[in-house]
Amino acid sequence: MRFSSEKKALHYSNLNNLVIIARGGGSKTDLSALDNESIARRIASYTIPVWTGIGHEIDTSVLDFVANRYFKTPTAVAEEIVARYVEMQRHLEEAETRFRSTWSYRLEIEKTYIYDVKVGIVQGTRKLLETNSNDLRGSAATLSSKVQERISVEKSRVAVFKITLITSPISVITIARERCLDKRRRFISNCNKAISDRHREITLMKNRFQMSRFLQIICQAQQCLYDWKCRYLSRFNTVIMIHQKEFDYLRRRFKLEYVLALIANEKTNLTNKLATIRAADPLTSLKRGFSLVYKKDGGLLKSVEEISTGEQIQVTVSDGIIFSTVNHTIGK
Amino acid sequence: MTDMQDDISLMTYEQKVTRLDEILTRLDNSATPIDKLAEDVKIGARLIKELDTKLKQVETEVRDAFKELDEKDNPLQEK
Repeated sequence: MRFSSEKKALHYSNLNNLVIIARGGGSKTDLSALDNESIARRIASYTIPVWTGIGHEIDTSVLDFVANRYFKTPTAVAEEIVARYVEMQRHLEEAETRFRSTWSYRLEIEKTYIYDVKVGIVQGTRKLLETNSNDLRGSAATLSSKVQERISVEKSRVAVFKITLITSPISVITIARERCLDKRRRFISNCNKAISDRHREITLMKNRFQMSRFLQIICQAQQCLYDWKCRYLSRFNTVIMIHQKEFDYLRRRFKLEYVLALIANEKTNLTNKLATIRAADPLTSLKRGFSLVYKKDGGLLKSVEEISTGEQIQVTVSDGIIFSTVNHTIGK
Repeated sequence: MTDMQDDISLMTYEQKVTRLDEILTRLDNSATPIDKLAEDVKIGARLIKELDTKLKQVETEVRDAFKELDEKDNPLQEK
């Protein structure tokens, strides 16, 4: 490979995995062009390996010091590359051999497994089918026997019906049939009528017992009661006030009448007492003709035993006093 | 006698009634002397007169109250 410029070298460096800078033989002057600082710095900054093989075995370039590996000649570089290629090819062949043997073994195992599964599925399915087939045969046999049994029972019943129908008169059967039909019609009619009546009653009861209607009636009744209450309370208060006034008047009047009755009673008592006093007044008795007789010592003479013959006495009458002497006494 | 009259005038109605009842009790007693009896009769008569006067006065006042009550405070008459 021959570098004509630094750009070209850069271009190639971006496209390859390895950069080889080689230059066969030549004089020192020819090789001096490769002792370039900028190329050396560029090589140092490469991210891929750079090998050099420049000139003869005795030549040394600046590039050899910055390269990852340098060889004495381009031939040495080619030998190294060929050797590496051969080694890599040998590794690839070995890997291919190992891969083939490994996967062929794995394929055998999987094939064996799939074969086993296939055999298992076939055998299991066959066994399941055999079991279900046996069950179905058993069920079919049971069903057949039961059907036969039921058919024989029904045959017996039909035979009995047939005998009964043959032995019974047709008219009786017809009449009974008509009766049954008539009863059926009446029963259906009655049921329909009863259902209709119940339905109508339920509708009426529903309408009657609607909550909103009740609430409305209750509200109206409450309002009515409240109005009555207010009205009668007002009237009642007025009546109470009137009666209170009347009661006060009557109470005062009764007190005054009671006082008057007490006064009349007191007057009667006083009249009686005055009569008593007048009756007890000695002057009244004297005016009626009675007299009071006093002894000499001034004491009232009440008995003949208190006086003796010859003693002086004073007789008081209504209009004066009579002085006299006792001549004779007679006791009762 | 004047002292007795003043004494009676100062008495209340109930005291006068009590005094009159005492006199009446004495009048029922035959042992009471005639002179005392005559004096009691006089006092009793005076007591009765004053009590009667008082009753008439009270009766007049009550009847005036009646009249006033019937004329002014009679709700039955207002109807």
